[in-house]
Parts: sequence; structure tokens; C-alpha cells
Amino acid sequence: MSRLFGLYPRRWRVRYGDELAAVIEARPPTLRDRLDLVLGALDAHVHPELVEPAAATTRVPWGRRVSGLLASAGGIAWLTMVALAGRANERGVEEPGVVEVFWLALILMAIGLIGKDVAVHARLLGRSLAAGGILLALAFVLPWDGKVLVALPLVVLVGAGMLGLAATRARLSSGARRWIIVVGFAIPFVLLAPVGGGLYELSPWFGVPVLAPYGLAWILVGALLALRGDPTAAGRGPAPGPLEASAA
Amino acid sequence: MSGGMTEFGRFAEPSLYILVSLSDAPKHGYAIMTDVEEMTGEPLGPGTLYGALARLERRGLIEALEPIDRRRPYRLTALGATTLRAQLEGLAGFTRLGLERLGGAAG
Repeated sequence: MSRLFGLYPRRWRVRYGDELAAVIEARPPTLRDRLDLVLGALDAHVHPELVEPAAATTRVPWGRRVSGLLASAGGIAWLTMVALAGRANERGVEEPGVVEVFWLALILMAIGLIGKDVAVHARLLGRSLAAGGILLALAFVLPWDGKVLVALPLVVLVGAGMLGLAATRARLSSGARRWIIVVGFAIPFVLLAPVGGGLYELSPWFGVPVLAPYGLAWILVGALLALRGDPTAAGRGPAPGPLEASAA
Repeated sequence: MSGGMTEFGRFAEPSLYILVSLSDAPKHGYAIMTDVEEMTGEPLGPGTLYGALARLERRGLIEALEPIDRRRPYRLTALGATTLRAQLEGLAGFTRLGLERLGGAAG
């Protein structure tokens, strides 16, 4: 149950966490209650003004909204790539457009990450990761033999770093950010990639449970960015986490 | 739901139940949950409960009291009582109208 509490924003947990824990102890949660808590956590992220009055008066500049929408579009493109690659595997033929959609997803994620207002203390890291993502996408398009060997570790590092930074900008808590990076992407990718096949031979058990959550995470983080902007800009966000500190 | 809680979205109906629950005495979260379940026959999820409590508190319709252990009671404010009365009177009028029309159609 504590994992579900961890989905809530830190300020929300400070205000209501003890009370909610007491309620849960008094009435063991059903499956419906657990789902209700997940939806409640999502609502708490979308409406930070409920426990943080200053957030209510903060207007999100259109540039940051566009940045978030592009990040979400990158997630949708990623899911499309997974679906196309899975279909190619099922039919045993090369499905046209898989690599192009993969390229599009990385470009959209990179542009969405850079935006025009990347937080000052994370600017270097953000731009480096975004540039790496673009180069990686180009590496997949260009015809050369060793692309998979070189590109796979880059996908892991750049992809996980990009998502982690976007999660930071969307003001997900540091715990949630680490969870997204480590469990949601890097570890399963590293463990399963050698046996999972290339883009054209994507096994269903690899594509759906391993790669699809990555696209879903981008859609969620992008939606949060579009709704709430970049709270780390202009010095009104939380203290920088390890990811940003390493880039400072 | 109309009037002062339309912007609560999916939390509007649970918020009304919570206001009714608090109308006779302050209650903490678990007591509100059980009371609402007795009133409506439907369980109130913990995420929905605290999403609604946060909105009601922010709008000044309820206020938090000092916690007892980890349980924090909430009570209705004067604004909350006024809002609740207006909501219930609106619903009562709507109910009367509906029953009248239903009776007319049946007759």
C-alpha cells in the first residue's frame, strides 16, 4: 500500500498522508480502493493547487504546453512503433515505417524535452540527452552494420535519461522518477534486449510489457508538462535531485 | 449538481455526501467513509474521499481540526452550511418537479 501512497505528490503526502494511512488501516483496501487511490494520485498531480495554493496562480506559458504535447506525441509514436514492429513479427515480414516511426518518436521526445525553457540547472544535461537522442535516431536511419550493437546501449542511456529529465520537469517526485527510470525502462531493456530481437523481429512478450510502458510513461509525463509547465524554471521548483545535480 | 460545486467535476457528488455527513457533527476520514456508505449504499473510495476533502477545504466549505492521533476531524464551516442548504433545496425542488411530472404522466 505504501507504494500507492508514493504515487501522490510529496506535498500532498505531507498534508494528507497520515490521515489516509489511518483510513486504510481501519478498512483494508479492496482492489477497487487501490484503483481509486491510483486515480486519486493522478488527480493530485494534475491539481497541485489543492495543497499548494501558489500553484493556482501560476500560468503555464504556451511554449511549455507545446513542449508537453510534443513529448506526449513522442509517446504515441513510440507505441505505434511497438505495434507496427509486433505486427511485422507476427506476419514474418518487414513492416514498412517501423524505423521511421521510431525516428519520429525520438525526435518528438527530444524536442519536447528541450522546449524553450529547459530548467537552468539541467540545461546541459537536457541538451546533451536530446542531442544524443537525435544522433541515435539518425544512426538508425543510416545504413551501417554495427548500428544495433552501438545504438542499444545508447538507447538505454539516452532514453532513460531523457524520460527521467522530463519526469523531473513534470515535477514527479524523485522516488517516482527513479522508479520510472530503473524499473520501467533501463533494467528490463538491458536484460531482455539480447533475446528480444530487433525492431523488425519484436517478440510480443518483449514489445508490449517492456517497450510499451516507456511510451505510456512519455504520454503521461508529457500530459503533466502540458498541464503544469516546467516548475523547475524561474527557481520555483523543488530542490534539484541527483539527475540535475550531476549536470550542474 | 448545480451551483457552487460544479467545478468539482467527478468529485461533486462525493463532496455533497461529505457535506451531508459533516452536517450533524465533525468526523474524521474513516467515519465519513462509513457514514456515506450507510447513507448511499455505495462505498466511498479513499482516493475519492481525500480528493473531495481537499477541494472542500480549499473552497472553505469545511475546515480541518486538530488531529487526534493520526485521525484529523473535519467540520462544516458557515459557508459550507449555506452551500449545502442551497444544494439540498435545489435538489428538493428538482425532485418535486420530477415527481409532479411523473404523476401527471401516470395519471
